[in-house]
Amino acid sequence: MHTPTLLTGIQNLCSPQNSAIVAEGLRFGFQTNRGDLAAEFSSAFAPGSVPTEFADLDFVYALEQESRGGLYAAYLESRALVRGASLKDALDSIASDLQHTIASHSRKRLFLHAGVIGWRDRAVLFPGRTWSGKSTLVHALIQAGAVYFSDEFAAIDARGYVHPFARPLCLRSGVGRSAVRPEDEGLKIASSPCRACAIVATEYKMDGVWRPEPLSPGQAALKLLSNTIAVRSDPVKAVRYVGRLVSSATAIASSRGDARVTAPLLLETLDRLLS
Amino acid sequence: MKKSPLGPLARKEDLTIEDLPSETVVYDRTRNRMHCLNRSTSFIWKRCNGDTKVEEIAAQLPEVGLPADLDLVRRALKALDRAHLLAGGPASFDAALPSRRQLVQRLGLAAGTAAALLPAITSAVAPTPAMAKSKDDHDKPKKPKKAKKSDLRFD
Repeated sequence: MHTPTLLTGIQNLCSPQNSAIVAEGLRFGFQTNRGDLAAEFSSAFAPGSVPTEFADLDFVYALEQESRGGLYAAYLESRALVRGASLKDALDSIASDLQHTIASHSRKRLFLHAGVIGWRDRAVLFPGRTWSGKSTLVHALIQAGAVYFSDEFAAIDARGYVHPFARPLCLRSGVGRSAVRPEDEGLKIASSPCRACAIVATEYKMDGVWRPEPLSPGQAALKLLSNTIAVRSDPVKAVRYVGRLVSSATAIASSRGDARVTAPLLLETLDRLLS
Repeated sequence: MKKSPLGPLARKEDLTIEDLPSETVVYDRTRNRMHCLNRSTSFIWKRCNGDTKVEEIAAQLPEVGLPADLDLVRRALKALDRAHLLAGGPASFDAALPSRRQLVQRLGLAAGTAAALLPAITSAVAPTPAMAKSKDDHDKPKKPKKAKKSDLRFD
């Protein structure tokens, strides 16, 4: 932890506005030279976070609007994240980096790259990197009645429970990205952790068809560890938590086509697994 | 003088091991590689204590539904050796081994069950922090050039 100091990007500016949050046991500070933006740094950046004092911080982000040209520049400590004309891009960049920092450094939980839904009071994980179609599939599943946990991170605790990390869904299309807040669409969002019932290894393929095959617990563990953010820095924790998770869940694998076509089939499969 | 082991010896240093009901997951902290040992490989690996001869391990294979065949143990040892999960040992598994197909035919295993029964190790490279950081604000990643050694199956 360190005492906050003015950061590289805004060190020459007077009266920066400060705010801070605590998430997953980590304290994040935010400094900006735009007073009206200090309030932007809120729980929206990190699901489950709460405001805190700007002191004893683990990480400090900064957002500067340059006096000449009006460009926005975002920083983590002294590292530049992005610089450009779009305020939204700068804020998105901070949010994304902050979420990955939480995933990498969380002391309480293990974070995996996985979409997560709730179905019949159990969690279902879809491990996969970006562009594997997690968000699109999760969106289609929650539109079909599942409960939203996360489109990007599965947060696992020592008991093997999966916690919600319900950030806005990041959906991609031919024209770019859009953030979708499930609550705006009247969709259900998880508020408490639950045990996992299934691990589903699936990836979009243009000619993919949903034909699930069983995956052994060991194979499932390898899939999950291949998507575990802190596996190299804390392999003991990663292997133990993942081992606990696969021991209590059924794992299946299949390619898939369009998410809206796959969603009802997948939920039928889950019903069969749970019955 | 250090006594040379009678039989194969499993490596223990710098490994994180998680025993699942019928498999073993191993994380190699030196190489940052992860391995899934299937049931028969896991069974054989756990008997690599330096005191148990290859022939004695083979004699125990019926406990996991396999015939007491020496070549099965040798295949598993070769795979374990390639995955750096042996601390060294006799070179008996370096001898020419029958192919997987030859083994399946010789042992009379059904094609469907052979994959589950025969010794196999699935391996993957642990993601680096950069690989793990699947940033939302990046363009679509480039298609990988060719299959690398990151996902190998030793069997």
